[in-house]
Amino acid sequence: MGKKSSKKLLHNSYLVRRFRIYVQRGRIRKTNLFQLFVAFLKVGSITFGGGYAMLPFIYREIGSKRRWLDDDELLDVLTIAQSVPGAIAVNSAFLIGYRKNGITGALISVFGVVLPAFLIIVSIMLFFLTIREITWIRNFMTGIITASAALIFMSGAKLSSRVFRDYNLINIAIGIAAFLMVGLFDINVIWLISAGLLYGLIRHLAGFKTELSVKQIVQEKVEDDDSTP
Amino acid sequence: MTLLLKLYFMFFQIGLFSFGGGYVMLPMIAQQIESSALIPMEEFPDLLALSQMTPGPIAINAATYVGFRSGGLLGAFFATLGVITPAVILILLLLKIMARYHKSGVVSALLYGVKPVTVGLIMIAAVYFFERSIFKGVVFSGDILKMGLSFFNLPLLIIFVAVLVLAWKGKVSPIILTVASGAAAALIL
Repeated sequence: MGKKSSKKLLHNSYLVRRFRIYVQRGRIRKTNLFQLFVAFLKVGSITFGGGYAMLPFIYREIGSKRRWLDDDELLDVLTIAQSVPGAIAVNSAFLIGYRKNGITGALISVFGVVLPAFLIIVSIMLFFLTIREITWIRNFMTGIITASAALIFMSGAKLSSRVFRDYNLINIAIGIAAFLMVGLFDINVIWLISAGLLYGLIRHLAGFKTELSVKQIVQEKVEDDDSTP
Repeated sequence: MTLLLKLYFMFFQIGLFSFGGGYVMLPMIAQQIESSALIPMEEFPDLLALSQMTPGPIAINAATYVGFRSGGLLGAFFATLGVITPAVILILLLLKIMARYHKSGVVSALLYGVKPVTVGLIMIAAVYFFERSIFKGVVFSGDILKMGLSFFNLPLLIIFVAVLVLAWKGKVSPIILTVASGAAAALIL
């Protein structure tokens, strides 16, 4: 009798554990689509400047706050989001939505993250063209462009210190060449990006190991951005 | 209809080749705007300014701006759809083949090759907007010889240096610096 009940207990606890895992999996896979939409609507409407400035916020919203994905999964998401072209926030939204609710979730998340930017720009455009020639508006815009130039320069300096950290002369030469080709000869950027991809492929085929893994790059990005809220 | 398709494919191209974040895309967006002539080139700095002031990725802001300006609400929709499409297709592809190729390191090797190019591109964007605002755009257009000593704007240069120092050393948030610079320029100039 005692033996039987302990076996039953074991059996039960095994089932309970499987069930828990199942429920958790169920919970991990499926989220309310509306909640998914709202979460990314928030991400898209609060973060300014776009790009990597959004990452810490996405982390907080999806990771520590809602616990939809754990750190490892988020790192996976960012690794893949980094590996394809396009806006990192949109890519992350797609991947997180996909992980939670499949293709529907992915599209809903992208819709949510894009919608605020879309609506705000459209509503500004309704009156922007009529006010853009007003002197103080003009000056206001010029001030913002000046500040942007400084911010772009700063992020370029950060990027270059990271990319050229190994003092690889070929890489430095490519960076300078890209700058001069666009600046002086207005060579189409698409050719330069393609050349960069080709250079990476040739290096790979020649047996060079890529020193920085994508995961490392992602981690550095997130560390960088933590310092600039 | 042709306009909508043109917008879609123009931003499809931009989306397909945009590695390394928003600022890196700026030279490409500028080139595409110039060659397509969908909006006047003088508005390109305004496009950047609006992107900086409003939330959301720069690529989305730019697509919405150019699309709406040239094709209304539908234009904005198609341009935005175009800039997103390549990433969506490539992510789905990557998820399917990831197990095999991601381990072999091809993807990170490709990204490694693009990195130095993106440094050059981001610096182009910085120089372009520096020149447009502080030197009033006269250096690149060749009008600098006619301008005498008034060719650059000292208050804006001071704003530039102040933003650089405050963002770098002071770790002040970019959005605060951006709006403050706009207000300062509106008051001083």
